[in-house]
Amino acid sequence: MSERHVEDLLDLYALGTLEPDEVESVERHLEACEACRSRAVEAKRVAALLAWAPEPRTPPPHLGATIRRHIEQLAEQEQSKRTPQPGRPLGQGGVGRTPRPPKGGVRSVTPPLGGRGVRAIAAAGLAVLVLLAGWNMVLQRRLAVLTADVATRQQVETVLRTPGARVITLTPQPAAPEARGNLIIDPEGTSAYLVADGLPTLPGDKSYQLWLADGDTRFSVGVFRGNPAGEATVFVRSPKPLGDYSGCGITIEPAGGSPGPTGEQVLRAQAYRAEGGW
Amino acid sequence: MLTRPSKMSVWGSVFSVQETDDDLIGQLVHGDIDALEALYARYARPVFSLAVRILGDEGEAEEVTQDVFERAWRHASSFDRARGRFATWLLSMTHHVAIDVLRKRRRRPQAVGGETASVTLMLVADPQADVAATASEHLNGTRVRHALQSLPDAQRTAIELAYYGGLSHLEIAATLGEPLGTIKARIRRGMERLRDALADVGLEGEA
Repeated sequence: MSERHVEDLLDLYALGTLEPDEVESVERHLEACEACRSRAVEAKRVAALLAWAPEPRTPPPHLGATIRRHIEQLAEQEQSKRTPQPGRPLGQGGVGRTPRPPKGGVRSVTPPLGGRGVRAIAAAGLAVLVLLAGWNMVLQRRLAVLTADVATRQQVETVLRTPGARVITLTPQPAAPEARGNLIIDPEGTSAYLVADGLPTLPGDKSYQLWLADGDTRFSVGVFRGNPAGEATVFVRSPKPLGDYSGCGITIEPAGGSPGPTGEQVLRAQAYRAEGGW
Repeated sequence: MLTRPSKMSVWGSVFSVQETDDDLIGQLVHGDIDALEALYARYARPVFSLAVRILGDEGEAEEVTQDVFERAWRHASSFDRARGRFATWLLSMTHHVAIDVLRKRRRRPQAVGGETASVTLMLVADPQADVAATASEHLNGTRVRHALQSLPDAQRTAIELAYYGGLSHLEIAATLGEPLGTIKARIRRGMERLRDALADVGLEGEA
């Protein structure tokens, strides 16, 4: 924790008007300073209220129908693609897993695709694989999961294409022997994507929670549920470099998450080192 | 539990609110397009209004609105109710998407991964901020608007350039031809006044 408090920067931080290096400095301080953290929460509350201040404008009447039509098309494309293999729209070649069927009684259209059509997405998937093949052998070897969501995959790909990015593979635990996960970490080590699949379907009152371990302390960096196919892609933002933590884990917690881990672990990785990974 | 009609013919029509946002998000996670339609009926207006305010162009605002609702559809499983309300999540996403469009228009250099990361950032919990106490969707925007408009011009301008203009404090100082310290002080004082004026906003009940 830096010694100097950052309260004079918190309003600017909340408004998103600080420069990137200042943001990093503030967040590093917030991670360790409860007083400033609570002030930052209040500053963010006020900043978020500004979203409601604009004069009300009514969107054109056709827009809702346009969006619905587009999403229905995406869902239909996804549905038809899933017909032979209802669980996983992409990435099967890389992982060789039996897809999980979606939950019963609901439309199995998630995750929807990003708007370029199934062929384009398949081609994009291949392009990603080709790109990875020429990129970094370590990353390629470790990258076990590609998400089907084009937009998210592009973001993951962006991280992967950044020199110095790393991929850490998490180990499945007895509670979820089929679960697999990779943490794709940006070169600075302060943000990452968790890409997981094979996650057991949770009852409605449960969530998955991702933790970073710092000695005996567990720090929550995300609560998620995954889609009906047992897949999840979660953006993780760490207040300090991930290399400073001793490990990470995913547990099953009550819906919405817990202050500390209470449930069974499904995935974990330990002893992260900048060069070698967890 | 389901009291909403299974099909709605026209989006944006007045929707009889029978289900909470949480109900609808739960259905959205399972790919229920009708749930998204219901959420659109509730929130298209504030989303579109914010996008117009930031971009000053209805055509671009339409594109942002479409993008935001499709992102909500794609990333519904990332929404974490424990970290805040759906409306806050959606409007945060709108803010980031619209600001990205604005910056792209200006050809402003982006931080590494900034464009995609900043958007995605809002799709998951921010460990630093429990934003559960942000604006209720039932909040009368007039009150926030009035609080902003009641600020001294210099403070309001600095805050508006930051939040709606996507400018850094350095850029605001350059734009206004004022010392950086002056800009920072104006933003702090303005935010302090907003904090006082809106102290109880955001504590209203769930839908």
